Amino acid sequence: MSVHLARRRTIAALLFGIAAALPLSSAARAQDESSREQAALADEQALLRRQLRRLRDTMSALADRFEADKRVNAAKLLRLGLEHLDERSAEQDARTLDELMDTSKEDIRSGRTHNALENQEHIVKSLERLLDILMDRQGLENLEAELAELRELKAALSELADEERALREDTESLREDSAGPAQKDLQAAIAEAVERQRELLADTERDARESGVLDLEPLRQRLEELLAQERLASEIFARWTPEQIPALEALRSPLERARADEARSARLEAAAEELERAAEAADRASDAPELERAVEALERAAERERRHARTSEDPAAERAAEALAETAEAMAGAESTGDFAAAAAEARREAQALREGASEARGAASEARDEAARSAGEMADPSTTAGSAARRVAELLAGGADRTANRIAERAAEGAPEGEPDPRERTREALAAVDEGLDAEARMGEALEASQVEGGREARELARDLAAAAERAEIGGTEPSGEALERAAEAMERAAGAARKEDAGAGEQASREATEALHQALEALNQAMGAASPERRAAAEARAAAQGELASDTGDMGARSHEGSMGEEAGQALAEALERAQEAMQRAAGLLSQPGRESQAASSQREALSALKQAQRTAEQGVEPQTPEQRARAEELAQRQAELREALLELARRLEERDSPVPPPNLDQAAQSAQSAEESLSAGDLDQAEREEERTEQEIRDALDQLEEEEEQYQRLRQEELLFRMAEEVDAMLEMLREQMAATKEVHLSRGVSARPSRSDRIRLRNISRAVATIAQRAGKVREAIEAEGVLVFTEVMHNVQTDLDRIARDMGESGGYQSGDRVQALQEDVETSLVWLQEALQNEIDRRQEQQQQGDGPPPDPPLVPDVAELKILRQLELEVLQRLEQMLQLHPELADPEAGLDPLLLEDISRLAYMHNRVAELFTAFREKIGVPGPDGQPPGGDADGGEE
Amino acid sequence: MKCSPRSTLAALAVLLATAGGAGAQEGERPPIKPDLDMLMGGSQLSPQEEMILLFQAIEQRLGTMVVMLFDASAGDTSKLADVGQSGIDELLAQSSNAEPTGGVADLLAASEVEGRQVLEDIDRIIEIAAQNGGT
Repeated sequence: MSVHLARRRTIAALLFGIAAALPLSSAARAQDESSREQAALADEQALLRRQLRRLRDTMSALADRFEADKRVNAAKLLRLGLEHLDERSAEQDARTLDELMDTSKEDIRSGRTHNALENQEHIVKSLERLLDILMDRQGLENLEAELAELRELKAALSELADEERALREDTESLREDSAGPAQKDLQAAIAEAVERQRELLADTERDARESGVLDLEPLRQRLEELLAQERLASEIFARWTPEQIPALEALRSPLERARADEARSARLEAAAEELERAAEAADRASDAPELERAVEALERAAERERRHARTSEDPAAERAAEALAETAEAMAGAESTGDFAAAAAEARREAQALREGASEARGAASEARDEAARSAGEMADPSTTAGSAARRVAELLAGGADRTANRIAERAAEGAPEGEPDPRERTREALAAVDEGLDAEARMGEALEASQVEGGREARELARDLAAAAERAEIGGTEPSGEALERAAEAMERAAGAARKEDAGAGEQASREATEALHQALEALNQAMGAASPERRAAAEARAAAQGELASDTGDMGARSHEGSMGEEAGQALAEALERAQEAMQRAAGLLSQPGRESQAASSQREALSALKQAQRTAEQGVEPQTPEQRARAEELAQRQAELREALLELARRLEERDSPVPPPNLDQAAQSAQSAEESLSAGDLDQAEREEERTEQEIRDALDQLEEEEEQYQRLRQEELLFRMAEEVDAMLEMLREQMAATKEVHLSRGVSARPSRSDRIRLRNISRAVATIAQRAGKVREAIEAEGVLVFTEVMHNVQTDLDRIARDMGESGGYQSGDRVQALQEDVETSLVWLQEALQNEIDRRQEQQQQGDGPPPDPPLVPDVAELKILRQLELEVLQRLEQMLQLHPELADPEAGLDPLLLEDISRLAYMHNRVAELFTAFREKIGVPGPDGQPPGGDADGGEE
Repeated sequence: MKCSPRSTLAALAVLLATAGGAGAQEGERPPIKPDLDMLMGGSQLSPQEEMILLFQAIEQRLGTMVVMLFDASAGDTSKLADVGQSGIDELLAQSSNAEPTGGVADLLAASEVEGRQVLEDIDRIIEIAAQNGGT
């Protein structure tokens, strides 16, 4: 048994005593029963009432305890259950469950059987609802109500989507109707132009293919690229001045001197500042901690300068270190105010001396910079690489170069004081510019060499490819091009050699020769590609003329673009598209008149075609209502759109208000696009309105898909609930049946051989008969539920159960002569067997679904309540039953083997019953096969051949 | 469990009968797939094709049983006379009733044999469904 079902049954046990007893109370309908029997039933009802009270007390106590134990959810369910017990719903005539039981008891006592039955049905429903609450699950009725609401919403939404589509179709129709004669002429002219352009393009492409131009076109592109690269290489050769590298390098010496002097000046200034700070501290000798800090700072600075002096051998650093150390010592050794004053005075003297040294160093640095600037100015030349670098150095040292200006701006942004840039920074920038220039000169040689080697290789490869392509396409006259390419390759190889030797002049000369050769190769190739037959040439000329004529016509159309039925914006867009088309056509016409330019002409023609198609779309879509009648139609459509939007918002509200476990679909986008469509319709922008209407419809359909998924979830929950209920019902029926089977055996034993049962046996048999009739009623309800789900075989089994139970009830009652013998008992066993089959099949399905959920497998869309395999298994059981009986019959009746024996009519009747039983299995099998869509055997009518079976 | 030779044979028989019928009444009924060429060529049946053939074979057997059982209930053993054509003799050969007597028992025994084969074929369908993740 599954965990879920086990839990469910445990909780159900709380209610079992009540629910199980209720069907017995249905005997109250027997109005002719004795008052003693009525009293007994009324007592039973009173007992149930007391049990309900005990249940309420238990629930209340449990709720208190769970709340104390912080088992919030369990406590909440119990509280909800208690609330349900006090509920007065309209369908219960505003009575609580307690009150319903009281009323039922009174009805039984006073013989109002019908009323009692009605009340008891309410009681059963209310108890089932209580069970649902305690189980924390949605009741079947709730799920069905949710499903019904969901389906209603879906239908409404689907209707809205259909109406939106109809609105779009009507908008489209209005747009078509709104196109006036001028607009229609314009559209026809554009359509014709599209066709003419398409034909011209096809002709050009065909001609290009036939002339072999298409094969040579990629080679021409490669040649053009190579020529462009070589032109660039020539220019670079001209700028390259490797002989100026030494002069550029010479700029480094004064610049480095300047940098060293600037550094020295800075160090001396820093040491002077340190000494002055120490002197100030000595002036305030009373502040011992400050003095101590000043001495420590001096010692640290002295040590720093000593280290620097050791590594740099800079006398200025040595001097600064000594001054700092002496002052530190003097201040550390000072004891009196006089000592401190003397130390301060000495420190200031030393500081002054250091500042003078710093000033001298600055002067030296300035002189070195001036020297560098002079040299750079002399070699500055923007047409060469080294000259450009020198010019930059000169500018930087003068303080006018961009980089320095940028640095000043950066310093300002960092909060540094504005003014002249730090000379040290200018020196650094100038040195960097020298290095960059040197680096560029060095790399340029390598790059030029590599480019010329590669270019020579490409030129030779091109020559080979050209020869092969010309042979393939059978085009003559390409030899001069090939020869020129060879010359170009040789020139480039010379240029590469010159670059390697850093001979810029020779390199430039060779590169220019290569450029000239490549140019000649291109000219020769163009000539070869254009050397067509006179007929082809004439055709190309004619095509160029036709293309020119089409360009002219397109220009005329553009001039008429504002005369149609379009708005200003659409008219403008149309004019622009036509202008683009005309320009492309003119280019194509020009190219077509040049030999060998078919491929490029085709490219322009494609561009023209694309622009024409754009113009065609714009002309079709840009139409606006023109007449008052058309504007009124647009307004009417806008009104319809407004109503649809309102309906949409109303549906969105209803979806929001639903108590659904999943978020409702978002219809905001749909409402927004509906609003836009409405505005576009009012403004007469029909094309935009159509687009918005389409979007609105799509949004609605997306929402519908979402609801579809939710419906599937509800459907699954509903099926699970139904399965649980049916399983419970079958369990209960089996339990009741087994009790009655035992009672039947008991009564039958007590009757002995007597044909007429005693009065007490009759009462007992009547009670069994009533109980069996109740089970039959329950079987009927289960059958109806299963049948509604389209479960064929289960329905049949339950139908048989119901029929057999009715027969047993009849046979065991007064009208059946109070039977209790083997036949009745065998029939009871048959019913038991069938119920066990169903019980197992239902339990298997419950387990299977739970396993599927645990594995995270989603159910298939729209699954049946019971899987087909389960139905097939039951069918197998039914057939097995037939076979077992058949076998039994053959064993019990050897006379069946005798062809001469006159067979007992009762035996033949038994065989006939078996035949009918089997025939029903055959019919069920055919129905099942048809239900699952398996084709039937040919020559066999559907439904099985019941030859004789229906007789 | 593998498909029994009998079951396969039955499926083929259905198929052959169908193919013959289709030839005789061309255009009236679509032929059942898979076609004969595929089977005669020794191709393997797909699970779906095998299942279809099993369904059709079961339905035919059930129909045959209906006829035999109703004949038996009427004490009509006339069909036993042309056993060669009806195929009942073959069925009887497989039944526990080793010696055919010409009585009603023969019809019942033949029905039982057909019924047992029906059960086997249903088991095979359930097996195929399980192998293919069907429910």
